[in-house]
Amino acid sequence: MLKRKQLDNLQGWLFIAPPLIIFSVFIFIPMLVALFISLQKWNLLSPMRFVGFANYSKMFSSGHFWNSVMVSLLYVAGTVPITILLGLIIAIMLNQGIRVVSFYRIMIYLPVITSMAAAAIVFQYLFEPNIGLFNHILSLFGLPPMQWLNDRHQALIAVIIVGIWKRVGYNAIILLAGLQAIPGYYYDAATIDGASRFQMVRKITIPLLSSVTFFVTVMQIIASLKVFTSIVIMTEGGPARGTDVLPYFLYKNAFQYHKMGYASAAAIFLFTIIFIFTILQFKFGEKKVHYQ
Amino acid sequence: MSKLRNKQRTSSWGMKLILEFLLLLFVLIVNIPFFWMISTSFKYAPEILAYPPKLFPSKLNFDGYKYIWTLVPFGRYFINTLFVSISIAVCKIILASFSAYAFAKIPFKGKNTVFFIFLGTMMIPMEVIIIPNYITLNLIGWLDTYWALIIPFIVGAFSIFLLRQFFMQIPRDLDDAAIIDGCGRTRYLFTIIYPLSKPALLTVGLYAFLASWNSFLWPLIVTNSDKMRVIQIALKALQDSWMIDWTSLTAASAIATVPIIILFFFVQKQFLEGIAITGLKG
Amino acid sequence: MNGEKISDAGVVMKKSAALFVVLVIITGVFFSGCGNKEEGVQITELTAPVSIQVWYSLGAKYSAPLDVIINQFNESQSMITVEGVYQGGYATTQEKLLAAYVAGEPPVLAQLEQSLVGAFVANEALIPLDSFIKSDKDFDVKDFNKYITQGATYNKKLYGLPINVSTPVLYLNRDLFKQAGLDPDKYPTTWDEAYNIAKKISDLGPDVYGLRIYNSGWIIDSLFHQFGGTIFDKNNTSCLVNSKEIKEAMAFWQKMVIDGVAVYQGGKDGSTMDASGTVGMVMRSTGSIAWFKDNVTFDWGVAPFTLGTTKAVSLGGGNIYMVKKTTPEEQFAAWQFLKYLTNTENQVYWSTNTGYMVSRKSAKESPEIQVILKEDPRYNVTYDQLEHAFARPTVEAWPEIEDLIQEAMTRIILEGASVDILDQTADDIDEIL
Repeated sequence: MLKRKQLDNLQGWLFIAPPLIIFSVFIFIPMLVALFISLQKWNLLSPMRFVGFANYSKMFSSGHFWNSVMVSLLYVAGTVPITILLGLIIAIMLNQGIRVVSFYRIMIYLPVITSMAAAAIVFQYLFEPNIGLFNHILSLFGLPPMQWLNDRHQALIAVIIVGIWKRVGYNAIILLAGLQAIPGYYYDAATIDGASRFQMVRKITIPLLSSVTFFVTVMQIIASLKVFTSIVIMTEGGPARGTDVLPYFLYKNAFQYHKMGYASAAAIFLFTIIFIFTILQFKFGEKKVHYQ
Repeated sequence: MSKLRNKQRTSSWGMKLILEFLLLLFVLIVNIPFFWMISTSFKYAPEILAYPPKLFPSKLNFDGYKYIWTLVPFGRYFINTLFVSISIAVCKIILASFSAYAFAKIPFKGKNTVFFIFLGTMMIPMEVIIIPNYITLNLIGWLDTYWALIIPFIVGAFSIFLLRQFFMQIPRDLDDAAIIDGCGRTRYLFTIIYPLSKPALLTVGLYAFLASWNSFLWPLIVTNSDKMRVIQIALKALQDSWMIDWTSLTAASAIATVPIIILFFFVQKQFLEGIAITGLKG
Repeated sequence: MNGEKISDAGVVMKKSAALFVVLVIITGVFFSGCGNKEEGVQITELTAPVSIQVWYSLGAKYSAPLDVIINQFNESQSMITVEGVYQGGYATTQEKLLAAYVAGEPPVLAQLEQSLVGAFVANEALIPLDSFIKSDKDFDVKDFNKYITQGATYNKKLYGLPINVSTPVLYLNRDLFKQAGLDPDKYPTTWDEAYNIAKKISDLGPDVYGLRIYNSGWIIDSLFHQFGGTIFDKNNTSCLVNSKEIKEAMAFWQKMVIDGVAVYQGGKDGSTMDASGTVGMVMRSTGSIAWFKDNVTFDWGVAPFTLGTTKAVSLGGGNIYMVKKTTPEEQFAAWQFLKYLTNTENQVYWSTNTGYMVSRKSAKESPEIQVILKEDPRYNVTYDQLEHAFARPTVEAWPEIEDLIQEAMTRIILEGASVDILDQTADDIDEIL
């Protein structure tokens, strides 16, 4: 008969064994393999050739690579603030004691659960310069039609719009939960003290919401750095690399140009950036604001 | 889970109406793509290509749907996706609950280290490991099989994390009572914890199902043949030609999306609450 | 895998009198290993049923005729079962084929767009058909139009048979021509004429354009050739994209767009504009004739796309190639199907149902095709300009190179960059080569 402590150890490890094995095989080891491949030159059809850091130096001196970095950063800058702000506004609106909140919650969450592939297809149609709905709406307001996916800069705007559309609901739901978690007596006490609505938002809502907002922001940044499906469907990185975000750059180099080593180097770079943001989230996300 | 409902008290009746109106407007705008997807899927080609665009088709065209179900074997893709997603969901619930239980209730050596390692997996984006995984799958002969689509996803850090948080809420007294009664750990899990955790388990299953249904990059790379194709990849294949047939394409999109939305309507309460929990715990 | 093949051969040995052939197979399998089937090692008959796959990139209405042919083939005999699999567009099919080949499980037949074949040929992943052709008395390769098969020939070896080969032709909106006071039967024969016609048409209104141009590889290649330039030198060792001729060609297109005479679409699919009736001329594949018939409501015509000082049009479309890492049985079956698919009767069937060209002279002479050509001379244009057709590039890194050229082109035409950025493009491409 095993002692309690031994039984605990055995069972504990047994229970976590399946995930441990699967994570190792499909996540940890591939990470190391990706690192290994990034030091090789390989086109899948011929044997690998060790090239050291050549892939990295080529990457860092490549205009296309930095273009992808820039495009990814622009995409993040375009999606994150708006998605968070919009989500916050919606959450605040939903928190005002209006009727049938659950209806709105469901409806704004629909884009989140929709498949990005299906959505991107529809958006491709909506953005069509000649027959699409969006240009039609613009014309109703007397505005000139836009080129959307045909123009290098406007295409980025288009995918940003799709990105915002997809995730606003998610942020709103979480922020709403955060708002609802703020104890009501803070506001009661503030009202008694004669604070104005604006002051209450500034002194109570925003600080107490800060950790949730931080969480949502970091999640949004990471999601924006990983954007892929909408690019594949709508623009294929174009026109003229205007929407060539890092994940797509990686995919194109691996599966269309057959430059596996080079693509792996880009993958490692992408991972590093995401890793940094996730660490930030863990370190600073634990800060909570408390009042007596 | 206690929630302190906080409503800012100073909203007047008129204010509420304005807010509701604005929210409704927002909802309508956000749902434009869905309206358009459905309406386009029923239109004839000349009407789709015409300008200005009209919302409702003047004549209902069922050719798109007919084409998708018969010539393109969309039924096959649908079943593939359903099979894969349900398998993943069920496996995830079971395996994640075991791990979560261990993390929440069993004191074992190295527990915290392993937990952080697990959380670490959430950081690694698919794009980084897709190439090595492709090679691995090739080596073990799993390329283009259900194994490749299912096995890597039967566990997930997010599910483990969610369930752990939930299980930690179950009072220790219950555990102690079970130990005194001589109840084995596994039996305790299935007979006591599971019934108490239905909402959380449901959330994990739904979340897993959804993620699998919508996954794109992974099936794109690891499957080739028609019989393994899943819905999202079929969409891309349809969209891939140089002359787009909008009617069948939007019909396919609708088939890919609408079942999920219907499912969602039934389970939205638990689902949204589950999502909210993750946000609050950071 | 090796074990299976040898036991198959063992069975054959017991049953068949073709001992010699069998010995060849065994030797071949033994010494070439699992992944490298010898070119042209053949069997003369099948002793067991075999099933093969053919991957193709034809979507929508173009796959239906192919499926019919496949079914007919399957029903006409019992040893070979062919399964046709749609993989997506050209690029996706090529990616999938690469992945499957690396995994050791490729289909024995795949349709590949001509410019995407380079990597496979360079790495010896495809099987030349010459030995099959030589040993097959029924097959007359001379019946094939040599201008078409040049697109499947590399290093003087024929690797594939044509399925949907085409050339770009100029589609004219005859209604717009008439509105602009032009004779719709007088199509342009030089770029200057094209410019003038386009100008008159675009003068009709602010949203009307005389010509639609876009950044498709084979169209650009045709343009370059027509101005007298080529992307690569004869040996594909250096890039000539910054030659005087090509710069002139780009500058010309740039001028057409700046002057509002032509519209340029940088995005993925511009075909919706062609149906809208606001474009006077557009060059597209002859295979689009079917699309025009389905989607267009105005009166339209087809003209040769042989503008320019040098008459040249690029070949386009795909051939069906045979892939290595497959068994001799599969290859034998594949050859049987290839023969069937490209025989005169089926070519006629294919062409009448898709609008793509036939590649056999006997098919073109057939009464059915002749009737079509007489009834609708628009189909004829592509045949008439075949003698000016040139093959697509065969360099291994073409996808990357094409992206670079297209990026430069978008910059020049849409953003008014100077054609001298092509110098940088040429340098970049030289590095890749």
